[in-house]
Amino acid sequence: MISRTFYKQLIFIVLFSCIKPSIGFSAEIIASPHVKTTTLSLENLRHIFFMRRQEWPDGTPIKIYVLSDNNILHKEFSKENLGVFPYKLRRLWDRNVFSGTGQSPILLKDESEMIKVISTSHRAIGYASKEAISNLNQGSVNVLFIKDK
Amino acid sequence: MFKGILLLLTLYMSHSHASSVFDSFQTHGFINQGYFISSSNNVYGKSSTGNGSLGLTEIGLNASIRPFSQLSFAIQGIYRKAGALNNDVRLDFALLDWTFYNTGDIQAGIRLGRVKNPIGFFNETRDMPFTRPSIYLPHGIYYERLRNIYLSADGAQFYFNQSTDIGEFDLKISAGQPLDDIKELEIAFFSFDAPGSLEPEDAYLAKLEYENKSGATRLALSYVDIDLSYDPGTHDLFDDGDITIKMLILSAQQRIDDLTLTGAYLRQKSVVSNFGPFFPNSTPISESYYLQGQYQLTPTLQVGLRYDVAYLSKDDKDGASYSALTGKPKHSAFTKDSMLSLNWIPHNQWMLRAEYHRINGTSFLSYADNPMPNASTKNWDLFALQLSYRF
Repeated sequence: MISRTFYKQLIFIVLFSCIKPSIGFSAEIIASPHVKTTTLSLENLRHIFFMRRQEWPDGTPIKIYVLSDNNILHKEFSKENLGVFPYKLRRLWDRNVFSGTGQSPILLKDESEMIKVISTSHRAIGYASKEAISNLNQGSVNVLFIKDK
Repeated sequence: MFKGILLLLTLYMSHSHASSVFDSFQTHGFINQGYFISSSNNVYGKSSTGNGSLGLTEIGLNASIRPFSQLSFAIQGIYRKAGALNNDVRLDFALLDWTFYNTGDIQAGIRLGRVKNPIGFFNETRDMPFTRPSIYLPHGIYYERLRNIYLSADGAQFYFNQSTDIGEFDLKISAGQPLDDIKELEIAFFSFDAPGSLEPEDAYLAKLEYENKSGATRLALSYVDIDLSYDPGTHDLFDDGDITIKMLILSAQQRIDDLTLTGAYLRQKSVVSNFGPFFPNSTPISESYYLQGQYQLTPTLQVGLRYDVAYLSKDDKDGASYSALTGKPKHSAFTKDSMLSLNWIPHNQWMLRAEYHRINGTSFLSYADNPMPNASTKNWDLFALQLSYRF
């Protein structure tokens, strides 16, 4: 007999694939101070990190940064902001890179490197925690507002 | 083709800001070393004698660049040493990718050049150790003797991706000329090294893949149609015959928390005609399936179980007719493999894999490493280790 836990898990999976990402513990999406965009739709954000879109809404090329798969902030970003399991992103990026059908985001070491790279580059997008951003000088990164629709 | 890409790149760079072109430049790669020891029968070198074999080494390096948002180039070279089978560098893919339609939700485009063949979940990245589910891919679906035909083809691929409320749909349709080193298939087909040579003509492939929004559910349907022709040698018994291989593969994967279940079913029809009186026309139907379960014990350690079955002919599962026709042992016509595996990823760039296989049958073994099929053993054990690094 299949256990009750199995069904619970199955229901969880089905629900998880339907629910919209919650705002609770999510990461903040940050961009280089030079980037003119201030608001992105959730759809747009997903397209960017799924490597489906290679440019900002104004047409300038975009450069995408992430932290490693096991990083807690990356996991939060993946589940809460994008609404996908981190392994989906890894599979997508690996398939792109190793079958010649696309590219992957650039992997950074940790959150402080993320903030440093985003604040000093021109077209970059990445993410950071609220705490880390609140300790920064005003204007050193561009915190993007993500619209649900 | 490749020269053309280089020329285009050079032209482009000389007419624009070099910094913005190189901004999108990426390079990645992997290094992989395997170790194999078996009770009998050889896998990737002389695994059944002495201390086993270190006969699998794979090194891959790729680069990609996207000078315009609709246009990209990608290239990958792979060095592969695999027993007595391979010891060479090959151009794995080299392509120009033009996304002529992109709304974010929908992409449509075309890839030209040497393109990976879309077959099942794993074929397009089968040599990249981190993206395959085991050291040895399931024997029937990713049949080793068809390996060179499977890898990539020189031609074109049309693609269409759509993101919907229930997940992503991904369609690829390819046409091209597969790589032509298919000695293993030729020997498997004729049962000996015939004087002429079997050459691939055209390959047509299509794959439709679905993945739900979270990524936990995946389904794929692949169709492959490959034509081969025989070019007879001098004093050849056979005429210039043709083989058409058509296969259909259904693949499915479901993740439930820390458990991943993956399976596939293959049905393959081979139409053999015009080889003359010494090789009558026939249409054998091959069948294969596997089911693999992987469980994440800790964030870095995974344990796996797999049962994998392959029959060269579904109407001759015990190999009796095959044996009567070819003089080879019955067990050359099938493989049933039970696998237990451990997968450890202590760091996102390093992976160590260990696998134990209990195997009944030898239908997937290479002739290069096993030149005498009659000396093969029906029931055997294989242990494999693999250390991989990626960047």
